[in-house]
Amino acid sequence: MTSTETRPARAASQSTQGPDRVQQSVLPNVAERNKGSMQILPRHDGERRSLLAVVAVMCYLASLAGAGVIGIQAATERWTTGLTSTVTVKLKPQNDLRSGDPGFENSRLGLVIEAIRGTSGVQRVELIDKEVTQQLLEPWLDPDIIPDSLPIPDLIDIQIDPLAPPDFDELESRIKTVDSSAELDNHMRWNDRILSFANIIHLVAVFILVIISLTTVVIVIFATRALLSARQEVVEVMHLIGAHDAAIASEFQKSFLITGLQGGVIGVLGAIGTIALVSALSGNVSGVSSAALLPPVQLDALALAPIYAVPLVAAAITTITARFTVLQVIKSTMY
Amino acid sequence: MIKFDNVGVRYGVGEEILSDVSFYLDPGTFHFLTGPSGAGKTSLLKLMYLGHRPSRGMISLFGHDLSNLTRNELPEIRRRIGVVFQDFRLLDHLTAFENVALPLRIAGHDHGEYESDVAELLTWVGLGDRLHAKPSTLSGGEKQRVAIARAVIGKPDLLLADEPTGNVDPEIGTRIMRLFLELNRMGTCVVIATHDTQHLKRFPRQRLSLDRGRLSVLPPLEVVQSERESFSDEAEVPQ
Repeated sequence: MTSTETRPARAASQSTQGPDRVQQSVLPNVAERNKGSMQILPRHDGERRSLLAVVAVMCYLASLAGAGVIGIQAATERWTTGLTSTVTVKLKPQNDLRSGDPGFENSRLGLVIEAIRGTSGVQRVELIDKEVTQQLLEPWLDPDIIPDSLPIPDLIDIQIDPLAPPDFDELESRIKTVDSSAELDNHMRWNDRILSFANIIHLVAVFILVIISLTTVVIVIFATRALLSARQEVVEVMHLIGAHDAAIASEFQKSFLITGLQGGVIGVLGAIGTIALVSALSGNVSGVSSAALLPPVQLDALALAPIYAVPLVAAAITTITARFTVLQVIKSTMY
Repeated sequence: MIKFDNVGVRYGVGEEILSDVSFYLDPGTFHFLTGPSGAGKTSLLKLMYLGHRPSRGMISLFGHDLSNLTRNELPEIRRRIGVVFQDFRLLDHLTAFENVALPLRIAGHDHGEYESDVAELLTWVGLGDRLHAKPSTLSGGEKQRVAIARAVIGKPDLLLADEPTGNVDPEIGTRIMRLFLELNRMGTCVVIATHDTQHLKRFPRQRLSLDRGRLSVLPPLEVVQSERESFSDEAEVPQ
């Protein structure tokens, strides 16, 4: 209907009984004060604040769980890369000459190193200093009580080509021809354990993410139903004057979309703050972490990029859930 | 226009509120719906504005058998019906202007298309100075006039009104009835549920009378000479 076709208004204004003829001065005022989009659904700040808080908390937890997954994945990659690109040779301690001593080349350690260097796939060979080896024991044994007489094995660190690694059996037999007590550790035992551990952590984090998402969906369903119940009058009137179900649903959707986005942003910012705090605190105890067997978990802004999508996911969850809930409730309660 | 064929309504497992209701209303006709309280007037109106599904029987509106329409097709039918609810059903967070504009907004019209019509209609029903008032600040009579304006703004093919003059003074009531008559002259089929015998006499039209859920179609209420004289200012009473 256009303004020139509105029958009742024209009929009314043409009636001889119409007492209040339209004054031209009224219309610009009407246009001014009613311009813009009419908010059909009333504001619901109380309910919205509660839902916003819940969505923010859920997004915070989801972001932390996501950061955990990302961190574990990154760390596992670094750890396994480090483990698979090096092997270690352990030798029973003797009063050997050390690297740099005259005649070292013809000593037991010198011959073992020479045998290793001659193997294809080996990129670098390094004899670990006794002091460094001793430092490895410090987390378990107080350095003040480690006696000088404690036999500490000699360790040789071998950097291998990960793309063309040496034949470990051949390498070990070559070493054993020099020193039958030598042992070759290719770290596969540790590698497998770390991978298993990382997989478990990964699964747990994914499970937590799924639980958080489902919980958010359930909360949004309850919130939508509560809002529908509180706004039943509006919904009924819209329905009875010819609004399509989808049009009613989209009025609710708008509100839930904004709430999801806002809650998501708040949650992610909170999670990033927490991660920064944890990183700062872990930096203060770096002495402990560097001495531990596993290197510290590090997260940078780029690695956390997937977490920045959490507000979008939250908005999608709240919007879609609200839409389907509204449609389902309207269909089941209204003709 | 409207055809009811052996329609029955029952809420839950109770007795039928409406039983075997059958009638046919031509386009452009004017009818009063009368009957004592609890007779089923509001239930009948609910069926007519598609607020409730009949328990049995067939209803046809604007040539469409409602039982054959999909859910998605019903809103288009509802947009051809204007309803004045007994309890007004105005949206409290919207102004009088916005309440009246709501059907047009829902039908997809832009603000610029309807702003002058809405203002004009509200002014005509005596609310020109209350365009921006919220319903909570309006009197019962003012709310009723807003509800009426909302019902007629969309130029409905069918206007249903449940006690539309119940809360207004006689002068406003008469003015509202004239608006309905004007609409009717322009082709809208009007059905007004009322207890007001003054209106039944002043504007004599065919009556749909409900009694304990059963409907009978009655001729216009007869007006005696003395009453005719008291309505001398009205042109609606046949001489």
